[in-house]
Amino acid sequence: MLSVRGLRKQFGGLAAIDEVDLHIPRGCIYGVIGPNGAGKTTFFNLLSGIFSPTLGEIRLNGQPIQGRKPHEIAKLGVGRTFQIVRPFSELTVLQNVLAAIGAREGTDFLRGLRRYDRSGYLEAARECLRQAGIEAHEKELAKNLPLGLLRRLEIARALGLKPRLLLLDESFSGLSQKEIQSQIDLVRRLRAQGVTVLLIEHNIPVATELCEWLAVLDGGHKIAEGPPETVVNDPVVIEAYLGRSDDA
Amino acid sequence: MLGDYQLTVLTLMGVWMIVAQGLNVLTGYAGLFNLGICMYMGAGAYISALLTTQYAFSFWEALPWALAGSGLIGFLAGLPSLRAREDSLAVMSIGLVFVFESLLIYLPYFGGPVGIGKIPVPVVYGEPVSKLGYLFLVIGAVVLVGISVRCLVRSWIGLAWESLREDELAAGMLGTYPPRFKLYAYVIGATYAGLGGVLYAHFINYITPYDFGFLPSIYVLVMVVFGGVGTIRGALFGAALLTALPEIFRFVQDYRNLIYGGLLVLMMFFEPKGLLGNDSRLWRSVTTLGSFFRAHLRKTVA
Amino acid sequence: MSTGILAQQLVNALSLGAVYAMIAVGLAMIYGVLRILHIAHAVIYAAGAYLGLYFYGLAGNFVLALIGAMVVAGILGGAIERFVYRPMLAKPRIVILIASIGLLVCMSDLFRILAGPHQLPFDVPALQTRYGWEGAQASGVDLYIWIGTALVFAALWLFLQRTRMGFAIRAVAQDLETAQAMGINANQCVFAVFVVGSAIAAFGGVMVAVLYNAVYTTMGDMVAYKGLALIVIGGFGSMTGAAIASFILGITETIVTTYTQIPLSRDGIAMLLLVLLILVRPQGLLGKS
Repeated sequence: MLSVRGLRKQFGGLAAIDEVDLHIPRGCIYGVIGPNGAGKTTFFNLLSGIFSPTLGEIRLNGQPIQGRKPHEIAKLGVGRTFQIVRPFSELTVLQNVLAAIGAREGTDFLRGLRRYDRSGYLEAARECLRQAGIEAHEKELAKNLPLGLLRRLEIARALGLKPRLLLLDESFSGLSQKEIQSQIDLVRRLRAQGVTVLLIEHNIPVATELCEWLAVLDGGHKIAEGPPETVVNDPVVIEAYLGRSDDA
Repeated sequence: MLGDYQLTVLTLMGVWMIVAQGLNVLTGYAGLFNLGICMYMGAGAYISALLTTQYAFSFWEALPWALAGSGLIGFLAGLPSLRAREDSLAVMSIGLVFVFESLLIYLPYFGGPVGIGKIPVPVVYGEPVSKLGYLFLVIGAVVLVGISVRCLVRSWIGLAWESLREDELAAGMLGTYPPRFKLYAYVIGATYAGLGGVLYAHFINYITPYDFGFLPSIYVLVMVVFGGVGTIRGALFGAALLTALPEIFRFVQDYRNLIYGGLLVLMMFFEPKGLLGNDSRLWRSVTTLGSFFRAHLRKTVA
Repeated sequence: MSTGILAQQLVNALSLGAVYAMIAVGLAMIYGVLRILHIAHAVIYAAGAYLGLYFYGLAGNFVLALIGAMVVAGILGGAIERFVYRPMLAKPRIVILIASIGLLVCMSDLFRILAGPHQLPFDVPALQTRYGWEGAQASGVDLYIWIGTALVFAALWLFLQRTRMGFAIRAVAQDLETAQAMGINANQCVFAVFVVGSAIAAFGGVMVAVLYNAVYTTMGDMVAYKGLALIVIGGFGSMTGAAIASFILGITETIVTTYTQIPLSRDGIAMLLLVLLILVRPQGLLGKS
């Protein structure tokens, strides 16, 4: 589904991402972990078009997407959540998701003039809310929501894109045990519907429980990859984490 | 029944309501901060004035050209603003309105600082429109503008605008291409303001470059901010009140800037969203009263 | 074009640039610590001119009047920060911007009410002596401007680089939260920046008033907008950038006005240049993207 070859991102003299190769098969739940500063968020920013790589290529189903703008990549079916949530504060929960649907619907000026509160669109938006488990809050303004619900709103919004690939950026941080469990169930449900999930996670237990395959980044390099049990016990990985005082 | 004076005030209220809606679309909904909205008003006014005085167009013939012209200027002004972030945007809009005003003053084609006079009153079925008739024309325009803004706000374009206003990066990540929608806002907002300009020009029958500079733009900003940013009712209310205020209280005219400036500051302290904005105390009381009445009605009817 | 005229233009350009720099550097400092466009700065500039005129009338001594104007303007600027901006810091930034515009409009009118709508002369005979040679003359005012600007910038540099308060201010400009975590009283720093910036603006206002022998209610307007544009071009919080941009504007404005036939007023040309510069480099001369 997603293949990354020779990816390199240089900021001045620093290579935040250096020669990374990854292949993410369709329908997988794939995790990217690594100590702080390993380049995980930079990696996501490269995938979602916020940065363009210095070198290397990123292919989505064979199509090169490196260097494309974020909205183009979104239109290709890649949804992304942010580590620090970015909701549309003054809009309702429902409107937040509708905004994602709108990107598909309002493709030219005339189509853009149509009302968005038609039942078809509303249902589609509610479906996304249901999948994320926040349909009860549809009329609330996003700015009034607590963090746990906001994280699910991020996901619901990304679902509005009908994504084939979902990038989850640290979406488990700051959640209670109960919330983490419902989030894990949510991700599993999404995979069951055919969405490929790529997640960055700081929380190793969650990553090992949820992901089928893990890649470990350290200092911009991929230092290990494989099924969770193997990776977690890999001495190279352990050293990368313990070598710096980490709070993982 | 309605004296000449009242007709004048009401007509001007309508004109400013239309311009305020233009600013509302641009700044209130799309979040593109603009301190020079009267530039587009001036575009509409001057185009129509020139066409009707120099080239013997009729009001109705000139109207589409004036609207298209102000929309075009909105587009041209919007293009460079796409690259600007929030603060640069504010500064750029000030710069543009100044350059615009300057051009009007210094190019003799536009009549120079004296402006253009003897702008004809529109003619309907061979008869020049009366003051009352013109008021109806303006009211019609206000209603049209109000309806169209409402449609826009409820459309995908309106939703895209609001999402861009809230968080441009997040909106982009959802597939909304910011430049496209920003330009829509510029063109549409400018066209509304241009319409206001046309109606102004053919009512006062005399325009100067100073009518469309920085200070008038600030007055419109006060209207929108005072009434309620990002709401249709806010723009209407703010425009109506602030046009009528100097007429009701004569002293306001002498101290206009002092009062309007002070009003802006006070509003920012107490009700930054505007008196009728979504979160304001006044609006919330109105909506609570409204739902209370509706519940009461339901009980009495049942 | 004889060198004489060019030299004269250079004299004018330098004075113009210096005055712009007085405004822009203060604005840049303020933007640096608070991240706001202090449009109301224009009012401080004009207030300085009015105050200078008033004190000069009282004391008959220009230097005293200048100092008096700077002190009072500084206090005025500090008051704006303390009582208008500070309570609004928690709200979205646009709120402060609008409040600043409100202050600009409101206080300009206040000048009109207090001092009358007419332009007032500000004649200081002691500064009227002209130096130099035919075609390239600088008046006492020009010298005051140049020397004053150099002194002010030197003092500012020393203040920021060599004093504790200056260090604190630079820390706040970099990262307010971290600075506070280090025990720095950010409120005090911001207040100080406003006081200093306003005093400098008042200096500019007085000098311009004497240079053109005119004090009027709207004298701050154009300078306010130019100042804002200058800090944008200079790279937002960058004081050096703002100063450089100011001198560039002073020179360009003078040259373009003298030697070309663009159908715009002097100010219109300046605004056009600024708009073009912002377009060409939205992040400013010394700014980062």
